Amino acid sequence: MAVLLAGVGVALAAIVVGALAPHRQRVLYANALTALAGVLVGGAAIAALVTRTTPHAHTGALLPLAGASLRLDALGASLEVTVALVVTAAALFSIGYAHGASASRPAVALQAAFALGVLLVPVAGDVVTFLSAWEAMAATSLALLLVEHDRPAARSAALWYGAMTQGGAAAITLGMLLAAAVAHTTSLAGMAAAGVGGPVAVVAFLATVAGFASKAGAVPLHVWLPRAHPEASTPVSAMMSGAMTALGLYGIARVDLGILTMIGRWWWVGVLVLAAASALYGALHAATATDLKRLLAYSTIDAMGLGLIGLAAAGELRAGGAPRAAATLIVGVLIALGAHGAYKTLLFLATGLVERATGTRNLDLLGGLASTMARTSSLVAVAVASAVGVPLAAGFVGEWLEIEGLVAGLAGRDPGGVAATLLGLVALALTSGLTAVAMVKLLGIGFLGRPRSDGARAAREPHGIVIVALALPALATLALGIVPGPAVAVAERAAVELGGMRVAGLRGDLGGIAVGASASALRPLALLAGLVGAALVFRVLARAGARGVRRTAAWACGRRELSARMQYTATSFAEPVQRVFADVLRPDVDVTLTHEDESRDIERVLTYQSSVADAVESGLYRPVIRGADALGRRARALANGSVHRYLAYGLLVLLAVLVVLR
Amino acid sequence: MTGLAGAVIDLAAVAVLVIGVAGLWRRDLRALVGLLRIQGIALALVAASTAATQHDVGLGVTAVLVVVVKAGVVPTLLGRVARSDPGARESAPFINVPSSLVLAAALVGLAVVVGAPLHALAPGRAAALAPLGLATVLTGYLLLVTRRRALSQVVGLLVIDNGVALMTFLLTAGVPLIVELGGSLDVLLVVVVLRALLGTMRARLGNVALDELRELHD
Repeated sequence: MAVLLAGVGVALAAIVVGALAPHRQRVLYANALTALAGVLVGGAAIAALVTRTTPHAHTGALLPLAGASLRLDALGASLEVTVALVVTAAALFSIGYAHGASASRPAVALQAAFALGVLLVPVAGDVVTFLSAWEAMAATSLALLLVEHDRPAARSAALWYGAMTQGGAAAITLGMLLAAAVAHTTSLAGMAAAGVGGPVAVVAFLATVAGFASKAGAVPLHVWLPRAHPEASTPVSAMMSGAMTALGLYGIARVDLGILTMIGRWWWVGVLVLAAASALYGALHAATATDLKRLLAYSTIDAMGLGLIGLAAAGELRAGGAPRAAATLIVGVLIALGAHGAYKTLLFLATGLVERATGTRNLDLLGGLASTMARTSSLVAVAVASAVGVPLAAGFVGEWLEIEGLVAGLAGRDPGGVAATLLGLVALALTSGLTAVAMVKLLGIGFLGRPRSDGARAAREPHGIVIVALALPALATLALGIVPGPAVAVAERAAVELGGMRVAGLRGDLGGIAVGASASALRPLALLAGLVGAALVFRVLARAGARGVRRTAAWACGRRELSARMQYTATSFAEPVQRVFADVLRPDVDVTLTHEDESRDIERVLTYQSSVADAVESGLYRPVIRGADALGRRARALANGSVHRYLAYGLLVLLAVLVVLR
Repeated sequence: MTGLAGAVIDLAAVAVLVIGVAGLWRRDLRALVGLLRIQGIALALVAASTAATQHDVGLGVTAVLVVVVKAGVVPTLLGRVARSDPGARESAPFINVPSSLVLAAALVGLAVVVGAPLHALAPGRAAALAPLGLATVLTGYLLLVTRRRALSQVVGLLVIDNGVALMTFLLTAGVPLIVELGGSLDVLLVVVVLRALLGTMRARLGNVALDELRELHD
């Protein structure tokens, strides 16, 4: 516990330093302190997981009503490791990256405060502490969006984000207070032990799921995400995507799976349907997006949708009498969140580097970075492998466990349960495919091939700490992908904590993971050894046979004459997907032809423009906003500027309150 | 002794309300300020009598404070404003005097009806009078809503404050001195600020009928 408290103290110091120190020291020391806080808190979480203890601390002061209470149980600690990794990487990156508006006093201090907020949410031990940490996280991230408030896009993003995050926080507050009132305690552990049921639990379930899902970017509450991520500064969007959205799913696991245990299974099926829609929607938009950060934002929606599928299916399976499969799913989601935190942080940070080196985030104008920014590109490749689900990278482990859990959930269930589980499985499969399209596009169009603009041609690799910050999550990705056993073993404890589920036979050790009776196993270390062995053999054989080989120029597909215009662009790469899913995406395509003067048969210029707007935003939110606006205009007549009228309103309300309350 | 103090409390509490209603009746601004002064004295009497029955030194100090602020400093400050514009009258209130007196009667009735449960908060003779405080608050509010002159509105605000103070004296047998001190200082500050504001407004605009300031609202 001491280490955890020290971490919190260091994070507080980082805020103070960020607010007070002069420019150069500010960026360096505040971010170094934040990184140190991340290391300390992450270390405390790992220690708690390894020693199988649950450190906790409580003080009656600090917060009103119940005081502040910190508790590091297996679920919180599993999440905290991810969050700490993201915070550390983002803070280290900021040291070498922050300049201009994002190095100003408020920006640096707010970023440190945001880091503290995300670090505190998973260790909060009671409702008041949880809600306070949640609000700190939400408010500071909102303020961080406004750091560059002179840009209209940033203001509009902040407006959307503010409405969604505050509405979500209100729903969460309502739901958690209702649950606490029924359980007669505000301690999260106590509430989980008491178990909350009845009609109040349904209201609490709906409110908290809506609130947490909006933070996790679930459709149709996702609209803030593709706006906020591109507008925030790079380290902040990395923290938002890698840590904050994951905390939305953490909230669902903690409150809805852990506390509202008596909820009916069909509520979970509803969440599952929403999650499946969310994952597919995010993946589709990611596949068609050309702005790097927008692509990553939609890919966050997609990844969180997959996680939500896992949690919802786990809730349904547990209620439907298949706790083993449910526990496997929860372990899978926890691992997947860790993997997502690492690779998404890396990708966002790399995007920041690319944008600074080339001056653009538009994939259609990038390309050829593999030769000019070699180290960044190879690190990005690791992240992309993890996102796509290539074995030996972390993303694969989470996805594999989720599929194992869903498949196990098919056996011996009633038709309704089978249908729900199948829906999850199909959505997972389809989403994985579309994610692969998006990620291959990111790496292939953005980093391979030839440069498509002068900016991309002139790109230079940055040096120093920013590359270290990128390497940190890459190492974590590979470590988790190659030796997933220990992580699975500790995550299993979290699943056991969530309402007494037990994974019989889900064994994780250094060699790999084995899932009980179905005898299916994952042994990445063996795979790696096999791959290395095969490569060595191949190399030896190639050298042995090299004596008789004559070197000559191969047929190079006419490669020497290839120009940048002959290769795929991001738009053309995604065009088939966009065409197939045109009904969902509703793309706005515009082709303009200009003819030569002398002949109408010879075309001179052909411009093709294609843009994909968010159909949910225009179809669902615009009418609501228009309605609210019209109501506001009409209500303006009530306020005509007369002081007496306002005073009379006050008197009338006072009288009404007196009469109603008597 | 207790009987005498009880009678004084009864009388003074009723006086606070009656003076509040009289504020609706008088249209001369200087007379209005005079009424406010008398109301302050009546309020102080309530506090002093309660202090005497309960042998509460803090409440006694509060009573002195009430006399100084509500019957002394504040009316004097407002009186200066009123004197600087001699003959100023509340020429045309939004609701004429007879109608506002009828309304005030209705509000007092309402206050007695809805204020009845207040007695349960602090059983005792004084607490039964608490609806008078509520009635004073409502009367002050009516003054605030229906009068055009800025000075009358300040008086309305102070009548509300006196009503709240009356209610606290009757219900809780006096709030802690520090709270009363804070409240009184707030009122004093408001009056000082408003007086400065009134002076500026008169210098810029020539008259102080708030009703005509409507165009500034955007």
